[in-house]
Order: sequence, then structure tokens, then C-alpha cells
Amino acid sequence: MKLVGDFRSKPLLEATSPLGAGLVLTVGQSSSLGGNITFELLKR
Amino acid sequence: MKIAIIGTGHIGGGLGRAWAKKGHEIIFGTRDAAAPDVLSLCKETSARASSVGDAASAAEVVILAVPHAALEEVLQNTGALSGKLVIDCTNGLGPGPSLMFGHTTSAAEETAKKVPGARLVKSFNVQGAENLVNPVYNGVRATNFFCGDDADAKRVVQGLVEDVGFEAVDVGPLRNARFLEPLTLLWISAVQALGTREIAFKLLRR
Repeated sequence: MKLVGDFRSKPLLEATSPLGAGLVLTVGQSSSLGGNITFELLKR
Repeated sequence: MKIAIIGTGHIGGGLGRAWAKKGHEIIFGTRDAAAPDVLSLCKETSARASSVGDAASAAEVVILAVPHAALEEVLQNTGALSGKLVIDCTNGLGPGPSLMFGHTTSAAEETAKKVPGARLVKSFNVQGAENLVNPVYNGVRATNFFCGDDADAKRVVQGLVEDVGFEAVDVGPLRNARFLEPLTLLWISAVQALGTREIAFKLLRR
């Protein structure tokens, strides 16, 4: 697992923590969606 | 849009509730249209219930929301689905759970072979029914992926996914169901690890 920052213009963990997620599954690059993408696990 | 939902369980019922709120006309296809839980669901969604064949023939869109093990019997009763938009919500899971079909084919591709001429799209297979009730997490829409080979059908599915409240992401041709179906196992594993079904995937992008 590799962490990459700057999603939503914030460090990734900072971006996910307000959602209560705290779990990053994969990080990768995709040209089909026109840029860098990653998954976030949303959790209530 | 007139939508036949084959299956009145958590997924079928959840989709019916969400789409009814958006003004779609729902027909549930079921073995027992007079069952108390089916009647209750119909009342709640202003829908009607009928046999699987009558529901499928009456609708523009047919949703397969039954356990994969029941699919063979269901498809024997739907009648010809050629030309119809069919959304496959099923997961071909075996013990473990494990994938019944994997890597060189998928449950969706195998189902497509059984419904010649249908415009089959895979979607709504990577989440629990809880997410159909509320797919928004602290203001963030969870992602619902879909894939298929018919561009017009996928435009319709995109709207139906958004009508449930998800972010809709087209991940390509139907063969990419080979990747969506294993994602279900990841969701199940995360449920077991975290002890809650109130979780969903979100695709972040720049």
C-alpha cells in the first residue's frame, strides 16, 4: 500500500479522517478517468 | 421509466424504494406476488407485483436482484429479454466466500450469454443494501461502478445509479465485471474486519 497526498488539495489522511475512514485501500494512476485516482473506504 | 425488479429482497427492495421516490414505475417480479412482505413493499413504493415473466415483459429495464443460485430459474421465466436493458446485480459467490467465476470470465459475462440480444450492464453488486437506503457519508456520495458494452444502455444506467444517490462511474466494457465482482469480496472482507456494514467505496480523483 502506498500513500499519496494532495487528493482534494489536502494530504490524503487528513482528507479521509473527517469522514471517519482512515483506511486507504489502493493508490494508482488511471488515464481513463483523466488523472490520478484512488479508493477511499467511507465509513459511518 | 418502467422498471421490472426481479427479486424483492434487500437489494431489489432497496432499489425499488429509491427509484420510486424518483418517480419511476416499479413492477416487482416474484414467485409469490401475494406474499405479505411483497404486498407491504408494493404499498410502500406504490408498485405492483406480478410473475417474473409478466414483470419482465412489461418493462423497459429489467433488474436481476436475486441470489446468483436462483438466476438460472429466473431466466427460464423472464421470457426473451432481447433488446431490453438488463442490470445484473448478482454476485456469483461460492463458499468462503469465493468467486464462482473469476479472472478469465465473470458472472455477468456468463449471464449475458444466457440472454441473447439483451443490453446487459453490471452494477449495484458492490455494496450492502444499507447503502441503497443512504449512499451519502458525511456529505460524500459513495461510488457505484457499472460496466457494459452498450453505450446507450450505460447512459440510462448512469442516471439510475445517480437516482439512488450514488456517484456513478463507468468502468468500461462488460468484461470488466471480472474486476467488479472481486470487489464485492473486498467489501465483505472489510465488513468483517471493521464490524459494520455501513461502509462503501469512494473513487477519489484529481
